[in-house]
Amino acid sequence: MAIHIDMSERDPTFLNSESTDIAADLAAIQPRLYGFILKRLADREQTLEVLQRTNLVICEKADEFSQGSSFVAWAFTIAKFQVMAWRKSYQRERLVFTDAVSELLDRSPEAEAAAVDRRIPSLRRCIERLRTADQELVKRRYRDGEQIQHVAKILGKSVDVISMRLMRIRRQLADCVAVSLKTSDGNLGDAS
Amino acid sequence: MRDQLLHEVDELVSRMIEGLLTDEERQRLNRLLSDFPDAVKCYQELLDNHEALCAIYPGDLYESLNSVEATLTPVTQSNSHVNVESHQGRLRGIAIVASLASVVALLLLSIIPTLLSSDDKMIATVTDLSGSHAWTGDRGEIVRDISVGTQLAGGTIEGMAPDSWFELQFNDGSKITIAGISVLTFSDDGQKILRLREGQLTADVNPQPKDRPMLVHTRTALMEVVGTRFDVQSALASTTLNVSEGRVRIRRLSDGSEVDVPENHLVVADGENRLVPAPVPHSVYKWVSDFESKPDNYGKWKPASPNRPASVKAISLIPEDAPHVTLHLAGLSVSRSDGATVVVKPGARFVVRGRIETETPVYFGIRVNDPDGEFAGMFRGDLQEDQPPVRRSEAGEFTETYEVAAFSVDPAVWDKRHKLASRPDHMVLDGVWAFTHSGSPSGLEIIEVQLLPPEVE
Repeated sequence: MAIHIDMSERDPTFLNSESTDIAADLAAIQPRLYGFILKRLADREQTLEVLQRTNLVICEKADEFSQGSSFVAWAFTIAKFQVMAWRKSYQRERLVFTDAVSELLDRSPEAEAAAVDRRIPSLRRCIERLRTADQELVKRRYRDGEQIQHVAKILGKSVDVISMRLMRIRRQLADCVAVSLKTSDGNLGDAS
Repeated sequence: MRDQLLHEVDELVSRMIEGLLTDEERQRLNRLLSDFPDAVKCYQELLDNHEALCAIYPGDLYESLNSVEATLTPVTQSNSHVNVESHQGRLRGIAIVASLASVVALLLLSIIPTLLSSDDKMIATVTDLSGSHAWTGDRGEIVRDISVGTQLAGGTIEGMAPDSWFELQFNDGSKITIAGISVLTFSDDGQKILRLREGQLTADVNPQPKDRPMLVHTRTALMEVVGTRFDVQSALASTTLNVSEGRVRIRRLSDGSEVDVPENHLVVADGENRLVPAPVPHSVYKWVSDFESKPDNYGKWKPASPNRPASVKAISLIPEDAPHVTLHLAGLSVSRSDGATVVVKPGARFVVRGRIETETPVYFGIRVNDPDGEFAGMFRGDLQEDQPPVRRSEAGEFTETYEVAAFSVDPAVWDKRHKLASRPDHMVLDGVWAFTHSGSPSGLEIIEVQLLPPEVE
């Protein structure tokens, strides 16, 4: 499929120097935006579609961003509205969560950013404590972006077996991070 | 029951992340989240970690973005049997998605040269370091074996322990140093941009282009630097800027107020006080820790209770150069609310008061800067292998004194001793820590650390 966008219909300053900065910031936070949206939609394909809508709106509203404030929180606010719009316009039966559950999962963009920020240093240390084979699996899955089906094929295992291993690793990491945040509370501060 | 429930959430979330959820499992996940608050907590914990993993290793996302185009093609080809309305709706959706995919592609294309050139264009060189660090590059690459002379293209440097110290020199000669538990992100694509998430930064900045000053972001303030020497301390709710040479403009983010801070002045940007520079007070030779409010520290802060004073409890630390060793360490930055610098006089002594569960040696170290704010060394106040165990009272408390006259260069910086101060005398105290090495947790808690000048008896 050919991908084309007619830039002539856009604001000629669409990618000026400030927008280039925004583009760099935007590229840097793509993983964060992806995680933010996935949390609310629980579906990879829908997440990717809303992520791209969010990217477009961020580009269009780039000049509304106040330099010096949190770009992540600002982008999360836009993503939040895009998720809401998506939920309104999309086929209800394809949404994973009901409105009630969606509200339960909702947090402010600032709290969302802080909840993840505070985990990253601990998570890095926790990854290093995994068994070598588990570290390798995490790297294949996350660093190298290999899909689980591909990993299963390479390792000669079923998708379910690899999925189960990843589930155990995720639980191990979650427990490790929880302990780390609890024991180092004074060090990391309460970011939430 | 609860464990079984959470195990089920674990499994469903993991399958959701992998895109393996069936319709039945989707409904089950929704029901669990709807009915059990613990399930919501568990869901958010796992997804927060997934987001953090994506931030550390963004490969998964980019693979997914690349696959967008591939996933759209079969959809357009397989929709001939659906009704016209839904087909048109789907096509509109596809058109939107395709356009948006192209926007992302354009954006990525526009930054790819920058990303690629950032690999080729090293912006700074590591000129000195000690202690544990981790460096994360622009693409999430994590490097722990950084050494002097390593060239970096930008990224995030994290000091992992109270004795961590890291000096970086930009290509134009400007130097920045972080010390202790600090997290700094830096870049230079014609304009130096630093983000100090936490900890302490010292900078000696050569003249920058007037239209592209160095920017230093913290949680609470933004500083513009044209060329000067200054220190920044970033805490959760405040930023302290101390300018020793030149002038720095600081903007408080909460209300947008700005002020120029001249040399030998300091300002605290927080939510409570007016943003007004004050002259840097004279040095003092006496200092006592203050744990009543949560300090910047390494360890677990325990607030005061009716029966016990506030303290910082030691937590485990595995030294970078000795991964088989586990220390239990508590450390804190040295600062005074009035901004005065604390100077170590010859003949002074440190008195450490604390609690401990076993009679084992308590080792003690300090980090000092020279009067210009540059890192000047680390020293040990104990006798290392010959340090005797502390004597604890019936209440489990101990008091230990460390004479500055007996301090020696910390083994962690022994190989750099020719570049650093040989003695802590007349240096500015920057951080202190105490630790045990008894093979198991000692229950060490620091209640108070005092620096007493020689004339005080």
